[in-house]
Amino acid sequence: MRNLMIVAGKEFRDGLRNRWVLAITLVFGLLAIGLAYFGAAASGQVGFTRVSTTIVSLSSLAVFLIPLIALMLAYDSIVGEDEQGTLLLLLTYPMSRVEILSGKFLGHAAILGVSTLVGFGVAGAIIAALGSVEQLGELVAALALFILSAMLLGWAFIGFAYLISVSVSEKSKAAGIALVVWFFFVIVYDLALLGVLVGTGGQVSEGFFHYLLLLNPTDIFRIVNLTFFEAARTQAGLASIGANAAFHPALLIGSLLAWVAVPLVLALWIFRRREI
Amino acid sequence: MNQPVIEMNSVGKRFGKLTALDEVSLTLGEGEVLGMMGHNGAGKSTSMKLILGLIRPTSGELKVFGHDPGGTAANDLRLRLGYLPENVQFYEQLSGFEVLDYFARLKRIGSGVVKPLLERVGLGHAMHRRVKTYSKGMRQRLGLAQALIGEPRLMLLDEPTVGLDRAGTRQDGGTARADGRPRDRRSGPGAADPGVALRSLRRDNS
Repeated sequence: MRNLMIVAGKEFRDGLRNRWVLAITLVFGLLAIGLAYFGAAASGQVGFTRVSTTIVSLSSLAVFLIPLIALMLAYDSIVGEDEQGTLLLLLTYPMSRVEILSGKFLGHAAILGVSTLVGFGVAGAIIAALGSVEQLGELVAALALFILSAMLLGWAFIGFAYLISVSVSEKSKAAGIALVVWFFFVIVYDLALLGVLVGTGGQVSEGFFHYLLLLNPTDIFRIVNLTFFEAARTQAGLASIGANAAFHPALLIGSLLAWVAVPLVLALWIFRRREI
Repeated sequence: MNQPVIEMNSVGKRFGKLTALDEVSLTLGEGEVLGMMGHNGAGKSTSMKLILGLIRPTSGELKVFGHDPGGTAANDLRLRLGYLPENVQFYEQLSGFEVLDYFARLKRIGSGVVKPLLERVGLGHAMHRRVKTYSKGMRQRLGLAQALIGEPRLMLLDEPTVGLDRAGTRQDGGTARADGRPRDRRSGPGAADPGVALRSLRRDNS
């Protein structure tokens, strides 16, 4: 346990040192403020828009960005240390492989978690202070849910990154697979679902279809944030189908948690068997 | 009781069809220095990985300090081992001090040892610089300092003199000797370039 925290601390410090934390925080913060301020520019006005509009546009952009950042942050986590020889060295130290991998995961999760919290949190505070927010309570609740689900989404993709990283022996291969994974979950999966829906003329049972959406963490993230606002459903696209299913928020958050846990456990399992 | 540090009894290691080690037997006692020489792919690094418990032998018996290095006593044994892998590249973003501090804490040793160790390998002047500014020789010295953490009773050095100039090589011998002699307990096989290995072996036997 002690070694786990040492590894996590070192990983987090790496994140501070090579400016990952700063970069992600800035990107998230500027994205949120920019969307809040210019979000209504298309309709001919500039200025802070409604909270619901802001969160909806924010989540439809974040759903592309967060998985990409998470994968880029962690894809070389294990395979990178293997290539530079420090993994071999770490394994001769008095700690288990589970401790090494969990520690590194914790460090990466902290990097993304802190950046998400600070980036979107500060942006929220600025929006609340400068904009004319009619209902502060609504902003706080929506933003809290958004930040929580964004963190879980990021951690799920860090889990995928670890799964990739323990499975390959070359960094470049890990990067390639990471890109494919991103492409699949963010774009291909929804397109395929849409194709099935249209191709079968809507014959697919609705209940079954709802659960198919739970099989993709990015769709869960969309549903969580879109269903929060009744008004937003018109803009929700495919996820509005899930919104109509009225999944309980706890079920959605639980599914996201499962998406964090499953790839991580799989990665641990593979890492324990990895030849060095 | 004079228990051998390493005992290998007809140890073999196969990777699929490839036989990396075949019937290797050796005994290494306290205070002994063993140089392992051989052509590329002769199994030097494989032997070290076996001794470190990173991989298990496919046949034969291997004991380190009387225990199976890959067994339940592994963590305990590892506190007494120092290892320098070949071609290791430390974390470029961290300073030499931070790298060594990280490894020292993982070995459950306080940060107090870090500065003296870095000074001993001749990196005292550069310890707060990032590793990415280090030359090849300086990186190798950092690796040696890492292997020396915690006064290990068995040191395994894989190609320890790569990148070191003659002064560094001499200093390296001096370091190992200064530590090893008085306590007379430091032992270690090292895969090395033959000339240097012979020189250090001769020194040890003189």
